[in-house]
Amino acid sequence: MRRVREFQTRMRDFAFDSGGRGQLLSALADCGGPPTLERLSIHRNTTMLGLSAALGDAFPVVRRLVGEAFFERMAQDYLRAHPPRRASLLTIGGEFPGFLTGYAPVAELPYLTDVARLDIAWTHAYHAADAEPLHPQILATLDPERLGELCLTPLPSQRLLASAYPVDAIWRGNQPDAPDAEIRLDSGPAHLLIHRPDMAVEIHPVSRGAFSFLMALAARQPLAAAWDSALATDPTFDLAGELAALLAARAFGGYSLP
Amino acid sequence: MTLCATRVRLTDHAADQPTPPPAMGGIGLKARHKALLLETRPPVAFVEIHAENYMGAGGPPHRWLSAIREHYPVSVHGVGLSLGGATPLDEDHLDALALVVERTRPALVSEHLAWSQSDGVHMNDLLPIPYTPDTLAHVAARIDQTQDRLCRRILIENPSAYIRYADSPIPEPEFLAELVRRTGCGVLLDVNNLFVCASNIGTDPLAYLDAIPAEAVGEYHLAGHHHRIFPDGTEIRIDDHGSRVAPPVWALYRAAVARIGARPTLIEWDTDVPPLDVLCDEAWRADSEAADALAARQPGEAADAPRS
Repeated sequence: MRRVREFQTRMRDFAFDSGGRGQLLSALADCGGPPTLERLSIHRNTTMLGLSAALGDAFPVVRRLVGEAFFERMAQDYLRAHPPRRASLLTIGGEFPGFLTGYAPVAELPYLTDVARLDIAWTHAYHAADAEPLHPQILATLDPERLGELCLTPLPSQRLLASAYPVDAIWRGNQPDAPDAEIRLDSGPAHLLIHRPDMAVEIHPVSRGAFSFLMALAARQPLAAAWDSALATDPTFDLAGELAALLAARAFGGYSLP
Repeated sequence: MTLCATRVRLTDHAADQPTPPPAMGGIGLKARHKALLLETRPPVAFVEIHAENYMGAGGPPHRWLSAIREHYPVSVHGVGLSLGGATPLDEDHLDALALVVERTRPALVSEHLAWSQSDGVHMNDLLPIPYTPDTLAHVAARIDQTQDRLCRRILIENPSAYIRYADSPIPEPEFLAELVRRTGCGVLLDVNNLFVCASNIGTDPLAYLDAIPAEAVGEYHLAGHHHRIFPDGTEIRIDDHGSRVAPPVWALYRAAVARIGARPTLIEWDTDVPPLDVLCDEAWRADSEAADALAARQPGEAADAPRS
């Protein structure tokens, strides 16, 4: 199998456009018709075009922002640097946001990295494990004296995303059926809760305080400590109002009281 | 996740295997068709999914698939296991495949006689391997590993090819027949792939059909391909699953059914996916082509029954 393994390694490098072809050709027979190199390049096209298309499907808003043709070139640069390590392409592009940060041709689109992170968060939520959200009235059933010790657990689909740019507005404005809208890039930062309480992924803008509160809860801190975190971020944080809004948004998948 | 209690010799446990779909035309399940498929429920024999599209933990894909399973037998077709790969089998991927099979309880499970992964890098392509005594032992061991993990028999699909290896002494149908003998696996005969190989690398398709163990064939695949002609008049056929089944592939399908018998037959259409009624139309055409092939067969020329 050693020779087969060597051939496959060289073929892989050829497909990702980073290897020579000489030793490939010596392992192959002439079939007549189109030359062997032309035949090998069919495999390279299948790999690069198929993976670029899969990356585009995973990052539809990034693709729409830069255009199909530009996206395909950018995708090929990304794939050469970060070839996929999993056969299931549902989660392709884990390193794509970071790649975009350092990718000179998109330096004039500084929000693109965060749009890519939002695309990833959406895909994560879409495919995450199903879970029944906590009923919004759950607090009324608990001992009010012990609410400070309450641990609220996020849904498996939850992702939190903060950006200096209004990425939720950019994301919504670039959905296939979105009407044309002007988006002001200087309209302030976005703090987003992305999750899937049932079958539809939801993107909720939340306050900075609520974002900090959710981060603390996701780190398994009890309600009292999470409230402290929120107040440290925003002294005007209104616990009762914010918690009711998060419960109404079906943000939690379970709770525990020690 | 559960493992088989004991290593099963699948040939000895045929009775434990699920009932295959009817020996008629089925279609690949496409996201854009799922709602219409459930609403109109066209009479196709089965639907086939790519296992890799259902490897998420939950969400709408599983919800849709559960609903569709209520009405159609499902076939799980893996495209990423890289049974022909020379580097170790991706056991995480095999576990993920086992979970899809466990959740879906499909009528058929299939994978490819091909490689798609090298040192952990996935190429999203199915490439042929050379057929030698070494690769035969290697692939047989990986099929054993897969069948043991899934606790069931799988079908192995013949690849399409654009290249031919200089050192590949075993003819492909004999290689497949020997895999069947060693592992108890079955064969998924992709008729379009066979036609594409005949055109591209000179395989004799009718001799191939004669050499394939008919009783091991558990499914056919049919698809369209792209016929590319170069300025110098040479040509290549690219297996892109992007159009209707070509007339000579229908002819080869009739020849296959006449020799081997009717089997569940999938219409694959993965690029430029057409409306659902076009896919169904192709599946029903497969039914009538198979019926014609069986009717034209000489008396006494009965094909071997499939081993289920």
